[in-house]
Amino acid sequence: MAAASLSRFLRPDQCAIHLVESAEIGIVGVGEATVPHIRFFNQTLGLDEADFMRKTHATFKLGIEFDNWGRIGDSYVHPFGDFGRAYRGVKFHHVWNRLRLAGDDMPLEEYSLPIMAAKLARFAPPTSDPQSLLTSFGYAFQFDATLFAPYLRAYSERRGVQRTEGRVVDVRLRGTDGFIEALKLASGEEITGDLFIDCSGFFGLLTEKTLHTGYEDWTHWLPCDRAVAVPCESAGPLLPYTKATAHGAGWQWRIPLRHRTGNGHVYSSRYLSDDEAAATLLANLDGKALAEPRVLKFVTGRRKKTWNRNCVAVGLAGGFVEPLESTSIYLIQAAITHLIELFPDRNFDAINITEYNRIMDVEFERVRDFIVLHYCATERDDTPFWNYVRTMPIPESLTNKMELFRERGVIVDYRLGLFYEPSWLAVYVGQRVMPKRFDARLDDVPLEELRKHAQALRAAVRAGAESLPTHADFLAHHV
Amino acid sequence: MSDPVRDIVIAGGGLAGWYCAARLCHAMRGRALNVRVVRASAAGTAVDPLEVFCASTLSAAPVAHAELGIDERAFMRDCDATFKLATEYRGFGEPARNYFLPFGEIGARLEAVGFHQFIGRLMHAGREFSLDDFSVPSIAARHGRFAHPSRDPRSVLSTYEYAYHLDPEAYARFMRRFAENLGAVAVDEDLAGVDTADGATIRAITLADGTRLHADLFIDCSGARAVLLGEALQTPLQSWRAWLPCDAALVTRMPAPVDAPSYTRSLAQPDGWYWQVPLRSAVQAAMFYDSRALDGQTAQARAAAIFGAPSPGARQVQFENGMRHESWRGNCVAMGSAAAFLEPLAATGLRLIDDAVARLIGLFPDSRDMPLMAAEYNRLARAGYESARDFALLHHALSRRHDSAQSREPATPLPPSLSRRLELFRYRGRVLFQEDEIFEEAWWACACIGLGIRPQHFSIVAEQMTEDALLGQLSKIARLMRTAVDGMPMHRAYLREYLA
Repeated sequence: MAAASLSRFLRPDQCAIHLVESAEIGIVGVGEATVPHIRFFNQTLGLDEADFMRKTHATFKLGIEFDNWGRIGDSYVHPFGDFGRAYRGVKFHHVWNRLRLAGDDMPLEEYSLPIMAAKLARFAPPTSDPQSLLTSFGYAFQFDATLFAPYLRAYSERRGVQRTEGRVVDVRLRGTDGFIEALKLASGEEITGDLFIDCSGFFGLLTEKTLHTGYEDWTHWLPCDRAVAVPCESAGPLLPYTKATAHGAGWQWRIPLRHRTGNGHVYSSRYLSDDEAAATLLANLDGKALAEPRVLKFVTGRRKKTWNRNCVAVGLAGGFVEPLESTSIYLIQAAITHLIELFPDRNFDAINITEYNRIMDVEFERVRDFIVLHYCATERDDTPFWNYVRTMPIPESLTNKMELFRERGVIVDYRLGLFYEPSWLAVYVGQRVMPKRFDARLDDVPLEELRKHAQALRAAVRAGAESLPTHADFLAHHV
Repeated sequence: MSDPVRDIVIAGGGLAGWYCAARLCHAMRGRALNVRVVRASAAGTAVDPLEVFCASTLSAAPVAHAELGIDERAFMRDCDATFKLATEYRGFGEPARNYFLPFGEIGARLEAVGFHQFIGRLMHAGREFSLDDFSVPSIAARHGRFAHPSRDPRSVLSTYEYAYHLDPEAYARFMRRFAENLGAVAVDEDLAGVDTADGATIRAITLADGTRLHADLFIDCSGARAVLLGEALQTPLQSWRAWLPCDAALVTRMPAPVDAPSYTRSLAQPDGWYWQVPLRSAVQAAMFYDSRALDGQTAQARAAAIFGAPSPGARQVQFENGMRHESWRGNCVAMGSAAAFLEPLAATGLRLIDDAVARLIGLFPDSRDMPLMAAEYNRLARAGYESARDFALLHHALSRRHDSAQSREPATPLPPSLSRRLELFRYRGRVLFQEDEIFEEAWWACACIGLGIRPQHFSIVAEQMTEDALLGQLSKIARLMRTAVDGMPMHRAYLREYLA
């Protein structure tokens, strides 16, 4: 992704891009589900959506279903889209909440077009008519990351990126200031550069092993530290959403691709052994496993400086938050976008690097707080794992947000970083953080009037969802 | 149990008070709410300086009016209003420099970076450009033209917004009628005292005739003295005087010029600055100065020289730039100068009041969650007020070095939020992003470039086009905009027809 983006924005006569990769080091294929920002990335590169989807066996994604998170047996969807429509300037969830407190227990999800479409396994892209509810959502993709990499490689090489196959055995630093000067490969070849982008994964070959940048560990908030992954055969209708099912010491993902389903079990090694984790995973597959389960180890957290000296760490080298909200690829994209915006010259002025690190810190922390919410907003007390996360101290920024929602349904909004109002709403309500009261503007509005508003929306959402083609049909015709 | 807030007493029957009453009553229509607006001209309470300077607004004003369902023609007739497309800054940064801060897009989206990066690249190569040539509202303002924006998103005439110039006193009366129609009650009595519970919340206010008014929530619109929030609840003022030294203005009305400008003029002066807001029947003019540097007589003389024709009754308005440490304490929220005052260099007067009411509506409390809502309100209010302050201060900070009177004094270091912003823009034309600020990236960029900052570096993305291709694009954009503006009516003719 970094090579493709940089080759798109930098003229070849201005900047030569050299990518070093080793076939001996595998791709960590956990980032198969995305958030809608990926479409902007593709558009910027000028990729044809249908071609991209064919080559990566991609499916459309309208959201994520979360099972067993608030309580065992609970299920909700975090959609890419809005819930309902405002009533006289008051956000819809207050209307819903007032009706709920009055005893009308209508699920919030019935007011979300992407959720209803997802449940019916239907899909079509949003329309551009602002009057229609069919504009009220976005979409992302579920794809095979191991195929996306070669796809971007072909794109990059067409645009002049030079690729070298080889293993880095040593890194040469400049004596004066410890900047990276060159990579030495096993073949003896030496590759020099001005700027180095470390995409070597958790290992952090340049940023950590060479520059010893340091890592901020978030395990106390996000205790999962392993994943075991396995693909399986597809079963049932092709679903336009990802599923995340909570287990006793972690959770399991299910990502439907066109040719198979990706699965994985993310867990905490403090509470579960690798064998137990694999057994749970294999016992909860939709179809026959297509490979041996593979275990990955990680530590949630963030590199202390994602840009250190002349090295920018992108992807897992920069930090890792478990893929519960499909943010891995988003964070890669953010790291690259900000790098291009703050592209340095050979002076590597501190002011530039400081600004980059400030922005990336915010990006990581926004994602972190939102993921932590999934763990701390639970009533589960059936295992030591859930007892820990239910009662652990959480970041203060999150405590305050949750209190405002719980007391009055106020959702703290921000512009920089991922996850907007509907996302927070979906997870709060889906995990039983219910507002005790609602917006004061609705205090005396007759319930009947609010019911009428809500009923009309529910009917429109249902009709809108039912008007869409099935996901499988849409893919067959358009991709 | 939580009790809903039903009774509101607004202390202050000026523009802030009535504007607040109007927006509250409208938002809460269909909900029982008793809003009483107390005249509150306690002895020694001068008129709220912020209200005087609401004459020039920002583009949030028509948006708020649309929400309230206000008929634009009726409002404009009643309030002597004209349309505003931009603010002109003359002599800030450098004496010979001037620029427009327009309501609308600047340039066009050429790539995934701000338009100013492309201009930055060309300036780096030694070419001079004015962003004014790449903005429909700036070009229209310069040529005295106006038309409502087009609704067709493909038209270049859809790339701007507009605001109003208005007579604040007439506007206060207009908002009072609006609020009274929605049930707000005027209490025509002066404020005599405030009764608190341990200085933490307000129990009641006492009027000159002895009446006590109780309420669930008190809104302090009493002006700079902040009789409730400041005097009764002891919330201190955080002065910005070290950065923004102006503390007085001479305000007058001058005859309306024939050509009805569609922009506000701000002109830098040796010890302050001068302001012209064109209304339909007159021009509201003011000279802002530091009364410690300029005595009353000299100020009057200088004002007379600037105002030109004999300007009878130039009245002096005193103020102090700054904000209360908290805008909301206990059961008392302050708006207008009682919460924060900022000289109107960025035309933020009405916007600050409007934002304050909108925040209150979004966080409208009940008896139980008052402290929680107050904390969130104060967080947002501080971010909003400080970003407005930084925007105004930017103009003075970049002018100061040319300013003989002030350069003799050691300058107070700028607030970190602004110095970081300046540093980053000077370095590479990058606009520092801050949550909950009130101005967009494009505005900061426009002001920084307009004030003469030439970034040392620019975005590499802006370098992808050849210089010739870029110049070609730019002249195409400028031509397209110029042609579109040439087709717009003159502001004067437009007003005459629109308000006929």
